[in-house]
Amino acid sequence: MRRPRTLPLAIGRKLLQFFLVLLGVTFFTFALLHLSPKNPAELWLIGPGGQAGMVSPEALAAQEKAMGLDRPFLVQYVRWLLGAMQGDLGLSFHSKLPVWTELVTHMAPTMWMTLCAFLGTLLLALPLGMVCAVRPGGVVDRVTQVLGFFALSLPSFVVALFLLWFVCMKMRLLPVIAAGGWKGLVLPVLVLIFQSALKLIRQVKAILRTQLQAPYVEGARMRGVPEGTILCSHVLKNSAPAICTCLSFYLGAFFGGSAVIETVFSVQGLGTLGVGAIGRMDYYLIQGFVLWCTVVFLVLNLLVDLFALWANPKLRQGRGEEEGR
Amino acid sequence: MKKNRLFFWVLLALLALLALAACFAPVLSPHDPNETSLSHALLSPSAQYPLGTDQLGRCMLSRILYGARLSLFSAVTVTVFVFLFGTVVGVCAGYFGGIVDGLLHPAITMVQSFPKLILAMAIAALLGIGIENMILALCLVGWVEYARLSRSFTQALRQQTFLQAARLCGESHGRIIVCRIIPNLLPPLLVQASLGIAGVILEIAALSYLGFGVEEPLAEWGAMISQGRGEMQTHVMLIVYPAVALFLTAALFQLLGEAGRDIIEES
Repeated sequence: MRRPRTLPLAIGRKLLQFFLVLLGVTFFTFALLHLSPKNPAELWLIGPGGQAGMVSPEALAAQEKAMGLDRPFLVQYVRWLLGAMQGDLGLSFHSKLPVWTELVTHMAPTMWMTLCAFLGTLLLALPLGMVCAVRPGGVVDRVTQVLGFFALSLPSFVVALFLLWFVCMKMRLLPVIAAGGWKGLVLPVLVLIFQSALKLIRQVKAILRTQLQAPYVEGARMRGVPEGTILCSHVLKNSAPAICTCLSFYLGAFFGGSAVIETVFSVQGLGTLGVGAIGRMDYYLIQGFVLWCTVVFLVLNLLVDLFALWANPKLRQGRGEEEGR
Repeated sequence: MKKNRLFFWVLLALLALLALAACFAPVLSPHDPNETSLSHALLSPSAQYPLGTDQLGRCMLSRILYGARLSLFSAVTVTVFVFLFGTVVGVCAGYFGGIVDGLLHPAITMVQSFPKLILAMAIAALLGIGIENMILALCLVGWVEYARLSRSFTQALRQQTFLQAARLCGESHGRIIVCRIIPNLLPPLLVQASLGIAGVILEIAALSYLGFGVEEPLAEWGAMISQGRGEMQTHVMLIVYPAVALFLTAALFQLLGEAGRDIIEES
């Protein structure tokens, strides 16, 4: 049976996967929250630290009905899903504000951090990765290897704390708790870049080296094509899908993993929001936060997959045999 | 060649030393790690307290040693579970393909879509704070890496002629998997496990730093850093000691994994 080779069908398949995974993730989170021993109505009325007897049974029952908790589990999930599709993610237990509002107001610092960290990582890792690939064993290669080792063996919050101590307390170059301006984002971005750029350099080096050993490179050299042209016009283009896959992973990781770093530097971003929500058992906020992180990750992956499909037509047929993953 | 092997054995010996120190923490510690004494708070290193005390008067050295025990035990437990589970699932998916693989691929994408630390935090928060729940949470998010790796290795191996020859000789699927695929899979997976332990140690520290890991008075490096943060401006050593301990332990496993990888690449 011949498989269809058209691009639109492949895109359609990817989109279907996207929605299925999104559905699965939200369902799993919803189920997880549902399994928790705490009563959401109780959390709404008295917060996570409350005792069982503080609320009258009538008030509890009324709250449960208002929140729709008396319905079966699947009904609750579908109601949440329908609401989410219209932009209604419920209300935060703690602040009683709409979850969507909370997410939006905390988004700006995290977005800026992610963008700057991503650009910084890219601008640092690509050239250095190319240098390492072309001159393995050279100075740049060895230095990045040692630094990369440190990046993998030190937890990010330790690096963050060290920078906080050194730059803010010892040298007093920046305020310890920044009031929301760009100054508060410099150090978190530096930590993120440090952690990811060094890992990305190794990955770029590995990808480029695989390409450099391909027969077409040798052929091009024998035909007298200059080394620089080989690298930039041919090897880089062929490595692009694989590198993009790595990049999309980092972009997604910045969103979720910057939570710890945001906490260290007291940045009022999504990470702090998420951590606080989890600590306070703020169900709808947790749900919205996970949804947002998942959507971002999946969208990025989708873009990378679509780019790969466009760049490498061989991938448009068949299922699952993807290169560069 | 020999240098790589020597390096590997040296690292393994250091690791054994660390494990011994962790196991014998009760014997090696000069004090009870949870014994508070406000009159002895924030002391500098001395004969009685080799690394000084924290703000509640607890001996730092004892807490570091007990922290080693906790981190190593938890990290190894998590890694053993995710290694076994992930490998079994991955090998089955890679070998049998079809429906099994069709189920696994979306599952992997789903687990990967979660920000790993956030998911671990959520699970730990919902089930309650404590070591067992933390281990459970990390197990639930950690198996994907091993499944992916073993799946791609198995798929690559499946194409090789010696496997097809074995099938022609009438060997059962089970025998092929156990006797032929798994031995070839073990070296790279063990390397991944060593690197994985380093990662899990750091994740445990991060979770405990945020307060989702171990229960309150227990000595754990991440928790110690969190507690020392308040005193950072005056007594930065409260953070430095556990941070150095974290670094040395993670670095040891990291180097071990990379040395193992070098040895495999030679042979």
